[in-house]
Amino acid sequence: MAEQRVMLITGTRKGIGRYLAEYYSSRGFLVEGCSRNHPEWQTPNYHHHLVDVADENQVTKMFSEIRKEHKRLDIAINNAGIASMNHFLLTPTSTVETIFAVNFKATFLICRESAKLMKKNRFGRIINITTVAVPLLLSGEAAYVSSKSAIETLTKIIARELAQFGITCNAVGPAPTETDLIRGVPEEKIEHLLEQLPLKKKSSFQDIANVIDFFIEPESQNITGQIIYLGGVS
Amino acid sequence: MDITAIINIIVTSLKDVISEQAEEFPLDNVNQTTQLFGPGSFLDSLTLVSLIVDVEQKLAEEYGINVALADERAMSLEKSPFRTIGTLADYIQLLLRERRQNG
Repeated sequence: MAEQRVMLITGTRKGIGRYLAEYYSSRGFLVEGCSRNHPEWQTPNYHHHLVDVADENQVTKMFSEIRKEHKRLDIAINNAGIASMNHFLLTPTSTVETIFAVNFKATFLICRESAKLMKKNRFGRIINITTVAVPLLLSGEAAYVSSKSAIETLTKIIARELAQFGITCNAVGPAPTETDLIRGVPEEKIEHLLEQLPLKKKSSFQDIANVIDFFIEPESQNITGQIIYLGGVS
Repeated sequence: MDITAIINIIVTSLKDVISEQAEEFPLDNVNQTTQLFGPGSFLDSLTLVSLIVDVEQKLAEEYGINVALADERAMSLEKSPFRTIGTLADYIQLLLRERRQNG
């Protein structure tokens, strides 16, 4: 592909999102990133938007800026996400609403607006992030894991609906990764989760980027609606 | 925005969307009464989806107007606003008028 590819990554202020933004911008992609607060870093080929991904007006405005700037979008990575650990009996519905807004609704919204922009070029790669906690049915994270489960179903359905436009949609599900998302989770809980994996180790940012690299290859045009977990679960 | 400008956007979008398809459609006689939806339409459902998205994008790109045409009201109206080019243009004009009134 002669032109520089344009990529959107959500939740780039820190963690996996920051790594992906730096990784892909260093590889020559034009990366548009977003988060609610300013990142404390910058890198060439990267442009940041201050956006709450659960806010439709803010997301629409960001897409209109991307459309004006590049007139295209090739890849969208829905990385932004939050978690909450609590026993089901003690989980307030306000937590459920917040988690579903940031994880599911935002992913839905970004997928929809991305596909509108990708459609014209009959090329697009949408990558969603799920977790091994879905197939493992992890206790204590009912709201979080259910929201990721919804993302997996969304991924599979829109893969079908967008196939005719040359847009693929896949998801990667890491094992626990060293980010703020698991910072509040007790170490023994993480160890217990890792024990359930055939490959009993945490995922690295590189592990995640490796799967995304595969999904976004132009040669991966026949790969859609797939969920790839790290750590050996299925 | 006057109704003629809106109709022009719809017709241009229709031509763009049709041109992306392999099959040939007669577009010479496209006008306000051209059916977009239902048994009398020459568009399949997916082409109609593409048309709606394309019109939304043209309104955003060329006029800076961000408007969702396929909102819940449009879907629940007894008579679909997507029946013909004319009814769609009327619906867009209604949405724009409401936006102006609501500031």
